[in-house]
Amino acid sequence: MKVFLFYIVLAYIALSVQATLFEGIKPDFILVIVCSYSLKYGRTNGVAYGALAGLLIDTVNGFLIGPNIIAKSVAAFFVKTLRKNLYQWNIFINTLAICIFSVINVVVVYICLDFFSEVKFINRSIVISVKEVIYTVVASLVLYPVFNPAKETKGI
Amino acid sequence: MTKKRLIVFVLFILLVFGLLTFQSIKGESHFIDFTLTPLTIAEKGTSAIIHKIRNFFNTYIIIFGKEQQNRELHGKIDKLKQEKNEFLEAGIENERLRKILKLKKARTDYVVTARVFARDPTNWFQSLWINKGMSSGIAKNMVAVTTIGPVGKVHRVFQEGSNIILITDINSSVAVRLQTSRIEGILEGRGDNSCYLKYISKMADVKVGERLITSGLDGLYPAGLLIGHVTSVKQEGEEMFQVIEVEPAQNLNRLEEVVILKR
Repeated sequence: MKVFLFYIVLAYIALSVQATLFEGIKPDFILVIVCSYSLKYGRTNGVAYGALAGLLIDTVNGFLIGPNIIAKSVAAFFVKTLRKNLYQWNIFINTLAICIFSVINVVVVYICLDFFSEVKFINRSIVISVKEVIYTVVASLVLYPVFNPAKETKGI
Repeated sequence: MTKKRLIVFVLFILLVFGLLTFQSIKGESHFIDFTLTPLTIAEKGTSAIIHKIRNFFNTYIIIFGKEQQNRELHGKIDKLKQEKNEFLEAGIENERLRKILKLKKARTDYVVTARVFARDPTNWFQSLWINKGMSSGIAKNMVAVTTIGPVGKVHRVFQEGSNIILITDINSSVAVRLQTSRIEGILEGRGDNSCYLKYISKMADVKVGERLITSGLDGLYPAGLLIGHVTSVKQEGEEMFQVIEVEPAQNLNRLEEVVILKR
């Protein structure tokens, strides 16, 4: 429970860093942390953490509750499924996984906002999302030594 | 076990979709207001701490590195540099606040001046958080400006904080006029740091560099405020209108204070 609460605080700090230090396009630090948490502490815990972290993002967005809850819990669920089907996990696989889940994250949020809100995406450039994915991949590479998910930990 | 987990997960996702459907039917959720209030209070504190840490890194860490080279002499110089930097910062802030004060005196629709403490943490929206809210007289759809020009409009208001949707946001549209040719159009955000000027006929002669001002026809933004300048003009195939890109008159990512005006 202590670890879970620590990670919630970590998600909040990551969100604050994104909101204050970055100008323009920001990497999705929370996605990196959610994937790492799911790999370390299991799928159920990962989904719970992903959902809470997503709720935090949706709340700060102030538009619609749900898109990031789905996106982050989907990432947490499937990253662990991927891990279970692979013999080993290293920095290259981790980076590739973050890249895939970052794209899925963008697509899920886009679909949810497009279907369930009045947000118009007609003027939005795809370059924004492409840059976000690249920045998130770079962030995952930088944070890999800190959130090394190679070591699996049982229980929270 | 795995199948059971998958079913639970799918049920959870369906539940969230139910919540999304409920929000799309009922409109804006009050749950956001309920959860945001403690978050904005915490965010103000965190923002202040992060700025303090950044300042520390900008001054002390650099100074410490130099001290190791020549502790005695450089220590003195660095202390002076730090003092100079503080004076410089105070001077810049003073200048900024003096301009705001001038704006306050010049406008009858002035409400309050607020400090920006955070931006949107994701890349989906272009918004700012300011430290003033309902208690300072701010209401939804009031306009945020600086001494240079318009910034955006108030989207959400809390007791001690508000969220401002920038003119560069994809949900933003402003009635504008080209300053020299007097052609009117709608300025829409692109979701990054620029905008599109829409509904300008192919017959209209629009030049790169031409300045845009607010027309006031949207009943929201006061007329005559400088909003940006044209950076590119394209005429694509069968389209009825020109594709015009506009760069805002100010860097909206580096705002420190904004002035709120009445509608």
